[in-house]
Amino acid sequence: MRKLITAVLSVLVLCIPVYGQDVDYSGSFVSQAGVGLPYTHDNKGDFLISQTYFDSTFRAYMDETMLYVNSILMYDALGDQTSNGVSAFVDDDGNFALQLKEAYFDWRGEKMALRVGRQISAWGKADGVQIADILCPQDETKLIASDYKDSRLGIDAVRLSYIGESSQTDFYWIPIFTPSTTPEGIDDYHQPDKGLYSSEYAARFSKYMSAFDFSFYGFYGWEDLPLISSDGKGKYKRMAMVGADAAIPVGDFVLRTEAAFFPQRYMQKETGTTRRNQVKALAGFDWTPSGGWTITAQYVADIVTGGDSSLVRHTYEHMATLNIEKTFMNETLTLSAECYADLRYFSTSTELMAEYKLTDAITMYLIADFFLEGPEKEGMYGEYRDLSCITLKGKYSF
Amino acid sequence: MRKLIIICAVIMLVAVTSLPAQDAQEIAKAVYDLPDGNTSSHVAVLTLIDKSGKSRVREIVQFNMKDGTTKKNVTVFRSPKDVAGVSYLSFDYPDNPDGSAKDSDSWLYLPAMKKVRRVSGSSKDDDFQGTDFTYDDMGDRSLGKDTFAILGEDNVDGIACWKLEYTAKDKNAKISRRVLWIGKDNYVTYKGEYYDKQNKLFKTLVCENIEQIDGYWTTQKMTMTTLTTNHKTVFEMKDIQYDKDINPAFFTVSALEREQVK
Repeated sequence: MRKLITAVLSVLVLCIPVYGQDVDYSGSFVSQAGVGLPYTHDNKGDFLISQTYFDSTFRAYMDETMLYVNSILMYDALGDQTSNGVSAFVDDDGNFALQLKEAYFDWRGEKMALRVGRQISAWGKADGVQIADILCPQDETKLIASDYKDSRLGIDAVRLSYIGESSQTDFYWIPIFTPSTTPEGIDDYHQPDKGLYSSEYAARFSKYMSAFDFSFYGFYGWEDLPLISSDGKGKYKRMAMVGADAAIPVGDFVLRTEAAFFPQRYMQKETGTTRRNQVKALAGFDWTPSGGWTITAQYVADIVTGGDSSLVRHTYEHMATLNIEKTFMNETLTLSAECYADLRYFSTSTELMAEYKLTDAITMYLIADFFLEGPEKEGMYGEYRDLSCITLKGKYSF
Repeated sequence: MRKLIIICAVIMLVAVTSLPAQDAQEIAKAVYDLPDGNTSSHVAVLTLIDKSGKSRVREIVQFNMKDGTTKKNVTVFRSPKDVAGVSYLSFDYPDNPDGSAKDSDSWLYLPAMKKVRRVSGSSKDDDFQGTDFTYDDMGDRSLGKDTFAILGEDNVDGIACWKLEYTAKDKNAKISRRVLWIGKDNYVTYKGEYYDKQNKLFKTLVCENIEQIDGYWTTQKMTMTTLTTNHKTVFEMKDIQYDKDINPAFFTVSALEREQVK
């Protein structure tokens, strides 16, 4: 009975404030299951993913203001949801989870705008690769049948913007730190104190012109992943970044570039940590010839200054990405192939996907994820070899 | 007497042919320059019908504004729901002084990605979101992309029309030739035929519900049929408004990113 009263009160609380406003409620229901491919050793034929989730978005508009709430209710048949943003509830086995991805209000005046609450902002011109896009932490628990864009977690922030005719300047104040989620969970790591002195700050300036678009970025905050200190404890370290990007349209092509500099960034050593300057940079293009083709290619370099063999990474690492997509049957069917290649060891992550729109509401997906080792049996993607799997997914949008 | 008749006939013929007739280029320019207000907005419902009769529906809202010689427009998808909120901003410019087409500036906002992407503004030959219309069909195809010829005159439902031929300068264009029936009195398109690279009839266009709204000629229903696949798209406009105040901020990348246009 108490649950019923709570439910009724919740509905009333949701409904009363929206009286007289322009309201929109939309979302999707997704069910997916995937099994290990024949070369995945013990995972062969085992379910590696089995999830059902309900993603709903509520928007209320009044004059120049908007209220936006996006949440996900998830059931994972294989269990173990992680904490932070995704918290287990209903039962103790970790199968159910509720995630509040975003919840904010937005106001826009003639030149100024304000957004307050849990929000996601995407920085940079890179596609599926993190260069300057460090504002939002990531959900690193999902690897298969998932998308980089879906992995961003919301940050609890105040965003103040100055908006020009062809430019925008954003200032972020992030008083509460949100770390990335990891498969191991984050409970054992020492998080920054919850206090004003632990706040994160960020700024972005973007300009949009006929010849090209460009942006500058600045960030001072915390690493989203912990580093293991010499005492064996995981801690989140302070970090700073300045970055820039540009997109230049040339005929059927859009050339994209992005770079980020991390001064004296904490790096993981075999024992403890050290500090080094780091530069990450990307160059790539989107090519949209006619006929429903979209081709995207990118090259990424990641350089750390100062040689140090005790670092757990190489001082120079690089990778390339290639994405080819083609639509058929009046965009009812889309076939795509996306490949990430680690150019040091030539390990690869490849996703082949067929997407078919059964109706306007229902889309079916067949997804194959291949993680392959390089010739030397090493590389960043090779270690996921046994997670290679084939997934069937259905989505209903409303 | 016979001589007199012949002389009179010759004089009349000379008089008729020396009237200030419009050439093909002038007609094409008049079609391109057809007044459509300093601002306009409408909701468009696009119904895609395949050869078995199964239909899919897209609903979009479009806002247009002239800013000097630049035509700014923003399109927001309302349905289907999996693409609702996707929005597209485009600035179209007049042709270059040498007559060649100038690329548009275009940006695409995908709500799932949470960011605006710069997209190529040159490829307007592609189908618009799986419909039988191309991006060019949906907007004003640059005059610099074609050469023009008058093929003759004809009537469409009692309306006197020119049959105007548009031939693509680009030999690799998917549509090499378009023949449009243009109303002599109002420069409105009443129907069309689209030919592929092999000069085979590829698509047909039927325009209906053509009337003046707020003094501007408006085609409220268009049906484009692709003959090779027997697939057609019906484009119907509603809530049409001209010269009403539209917030200039709608035509900014910032408005796309903040999901301000809906």
